[in-house]
Formats: sequence, structure tokens, C-alpha cells
Amino acid sequence: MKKTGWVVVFGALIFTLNLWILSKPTPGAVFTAPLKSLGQITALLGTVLLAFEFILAARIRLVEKWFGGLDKVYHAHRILGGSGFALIVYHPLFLLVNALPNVRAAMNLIIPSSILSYDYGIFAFYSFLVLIFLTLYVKLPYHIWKATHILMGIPLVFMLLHMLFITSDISAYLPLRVWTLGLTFAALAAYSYKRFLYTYFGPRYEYTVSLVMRAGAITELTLMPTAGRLPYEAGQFAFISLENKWLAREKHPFTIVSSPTETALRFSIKSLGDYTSKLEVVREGDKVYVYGPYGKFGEKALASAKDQIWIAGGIGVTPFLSLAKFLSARGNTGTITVFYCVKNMDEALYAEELAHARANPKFNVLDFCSDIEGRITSEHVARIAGDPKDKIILLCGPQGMVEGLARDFEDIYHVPKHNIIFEEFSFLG
Amino acid sequence: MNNIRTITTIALVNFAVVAGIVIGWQMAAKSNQTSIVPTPATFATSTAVSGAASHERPAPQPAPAPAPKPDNRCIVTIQGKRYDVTQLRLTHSGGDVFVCGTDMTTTFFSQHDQQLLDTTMRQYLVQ
Repeated sequence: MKKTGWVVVFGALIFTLNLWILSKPTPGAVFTAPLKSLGQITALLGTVLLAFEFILAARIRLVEKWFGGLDKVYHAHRILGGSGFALIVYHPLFLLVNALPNVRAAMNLIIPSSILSYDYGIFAFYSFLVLIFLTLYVKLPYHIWKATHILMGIPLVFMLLHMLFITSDISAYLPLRVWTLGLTFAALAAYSYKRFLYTYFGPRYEYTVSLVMRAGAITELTLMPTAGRLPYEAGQFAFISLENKWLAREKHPFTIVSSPTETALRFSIKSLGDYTSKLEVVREGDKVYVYGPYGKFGEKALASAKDQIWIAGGIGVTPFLSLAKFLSARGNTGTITVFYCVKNMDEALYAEELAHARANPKFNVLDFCSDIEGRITSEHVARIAGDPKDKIILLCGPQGMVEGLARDFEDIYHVPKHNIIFEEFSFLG
Repeated sequence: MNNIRTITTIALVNFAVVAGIVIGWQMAAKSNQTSIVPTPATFATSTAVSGAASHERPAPQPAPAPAPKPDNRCIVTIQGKRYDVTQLRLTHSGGDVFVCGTDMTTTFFSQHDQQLLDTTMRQYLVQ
């Protein structure tokens, strides 16, 4: 896992903390009114985390590089959003307690009044509260969940107004004011880019559906480029937006199944949610906008000459189809042992396609049926592929399987963490 | 994500408890403000009635001295000095938090510092 992104976030937090201490007449002044100080620092650190949350959601290439893949970026986005909001909750809480026993002053912090600078903060807080509550505690259909995320711009604007007009530590000390307002403006710019500009000016490529194949819960789409080809690497994914009157114009992420050497772009999508269950309406000739590519899942597998172990669970086989096709043709790789784990062979829809890699002697492809052999374990893998300690291990499949195997490889076989690669997305097809 | 949900839940519960206490306190304070204080007008009337009962033929009295103008200013004390915050309470960015006639030193320093008292607040100092 790349740590640059987290180093940047923690660096920003420490920088903010230092600026806040410098905003005081003496460093010891932060202890003279401890509740007020806690109210201030929770607001400042919460603001920094929320600002990064918005910046991370904008799918910026540099940010993806810092975190080692867009899936890791979104994982960080969720952590920063939740913890930033938790800190923001403590901001009015500490100030409330600090204001007591002056109840009138305390009420001004939670009920809107004629004090506009406070009211902006109150509106920001309550609108954040509603939207975060819906995100964290309510299981919403995707399009409603998406709408709640789009509305996040409202509390962000109120937060910015609150910071602009409030008379406090950020208005009293120019460097702190410039830094916090700068970060919040950057967050607003990132939000505006993602909300209004990304659809038209993001990394967009126009394709047409040339073939639709269905097998059980799987829909396979083959796309041909209309203008420009997506410049992707094996193992990456892209967001696709289908122009079909029966489907909402939403962008959904799916792993690319085809090899970068092919002209056609292929996606294999399992019906798992509201959107994917409606894909039966897709017809040949439908226009598709493809945004990407994203992800670093195959980066190490493509670059390393070490022996590798790939473990695919069900539809998690998709990135391996692309990698196997590309690497078996390219050569120049160590031995690769592939475990294609399914319930039974009826579900092994891609066994035949994966078997093409067997033509390359470096590939050892095994179908692993849990109905016969039970759930795959690290012992199974070690018995067949040899000691995994010095190998690169790629995992893609159900979250429980991936997390369990990754933990076992690390704990039992002492495989270094950086050699165990998996994606954070649970919704990638 | 479960950890994030847990810390957010704890924060929200804490906030709900404290905000509930403050709102309850405010409501209790409002209900206690129902006691009737005699106004200057009723006080003057009762004095006149009792005066008529005790003197049937009042002797000519010199014209009473005009009553001192009531002091409507809001004066608070900070660090032993008195400040007239009548105007300030209308524009104070933290709202009308002033309790007239009381020592607000603690409240002041919970939000501001000595520098503000020595500079900005000097204009409100009552000589």
C-alpha cells in the first residue's frame, strides 16, 4: 500500500495544529480555556479532514498515485469523511459546555438566531448531520445514495461562509486563515469539478455496444471505440455510463476483462445491485461513455519477474482474465499459479477463457470448487503453489475470502504486506 | 467502516445529550421568568393612594424634585471595571450573551483574551 497519501493527510493535520498554537499569544494560552481550545482544534482538524474527503472524491490522477489506486482513494475518502464529521460534532459540543452556565450564549450555538456567522455554522452542521446519517446508517438505493452525496456541496458552502465570517482564531491569525480557507476552497473546487465538469471534461472515451451476452446473472458487454481508445493496462477498471432510455445516466465502475492489445473493450458484470440488475435492457448499438482507466491492481504483476499466485473468487476472476491474456502473450514473467475458485464447475463461466493461458508453460491454472474441496485456504494454496513467502499474491473476490486469505498469508507464511495485493472495492464487477 | 460508524455514533450521542441539557435548561429558565416585578407606574399610584388616606387636608408642598432618569444602560463588570455594553450587545458577533449588572469576567475570558479587553473593550469603559 502506498503511504504518500496518508503522509500528506497527517502532515496537513500537524501543520494545522502548529498554526493554531502559533495563533495564540503564547503556547500556554491553549490551556487557559481548555474547552474553548478543544472546540477550536476539533473544528480545525475536522475541517482539514473534510476538505481532503472532497478532494479525494474528485478522481484526480496525482491523488490516485499517492494512495496506490482509486479503490484505496475511496477507502481513504470514507475514513476521512466519517472521522472528519465526528470531529466536527465535537466542535459545537465543547463550545456548548464552555458557554455554560450562560444558557443564552449556548443556545446561539445550536439554534439559528440573528447572528449570521453562527447561523452558517449551524446550517452546515445540521445539513452535514442529515447527509452523513443517511450515508452511514441507512441502506439506500444507489441513485438516492448518490443524490445525498451530490448534496454534500451545500454543507460545504455553509462551512466556508461560517469560516469567512466568524471572529475567532482563524480570523485573528492570517497564516491559519489562509491555510484553512485555502483548503476549503480547494475542496469546493474539487466538488465543483466532480459535480459539474467531470462528465464532460474528465478522461472520457466514447464507445458503442457491439455485443451483449448473458449467462445467468452475468452480462458481458463488448464495446467498440467510436472516438479514441481507452489507454488502459491489464487489471484496471473504468466507470461506464450507458446511454439507454431505460437506464439512469449513472457512472458505475467495472473491471476491464479484455487485454490492452485488443481493440474491443470488454466488461463482465454480475447482477448484484439496483443498476446491474437492469442491464438486460442494454442493446447492441447503445452509446457508452467510458471514464478512466483507474486502479493499480495489476501494476506489480506486470512489472515483476517474481513468481506469482493469483486467487480469483467467482466474478473476481475479471481482472485476471485481462492479466492472463496480456501476460501469457507478452511472456517475460515468473511462474504464475492461478486458482479460479467457484462453488461448482457450472459457475466457472470463464474456466475455458482462462485455460488459454495454459498454452504458456509459465501458467498453472487450477479450478477450485468449494462444493468438492471446501473453501480455499492458505494451506491449499501453499500445498499446490509452494511456499508463498517470496511470491507476489493477487486476490480478487468476496471480501471475506480476500481478507481471510490475506491475513493468513501474512500471519502464517510471513508474506510481506506489500506483496499481497487486493482491491478495496466490493462493488467492482 | 464499522469503526467509523462507531466513533460517529459516539460523537452524535454526546452532542444530543449536551444539546438536550442546554435546551432543557433554557426552557426551565424561561418558565422561571414569570414572577411579577412592580413597575414604577404601579409603585407611584400606590404611594399616592396611601398619601391621600393619611392627610385629609394636605398642606401645600414644594414641587417634588424630578425623579432621577432611569438608567437603562447595560453595565457589566470585567476584572473589577465597569463596561457599558448597551450598544455592543446589539452588534456582538457572539450574540447577546450579556447579563446586565453582573460580573462577567469568567465568561469574557472563556471567549476572549486580555489583549481584547485592553484594546477594543476600552471604548466601553465606564469612567
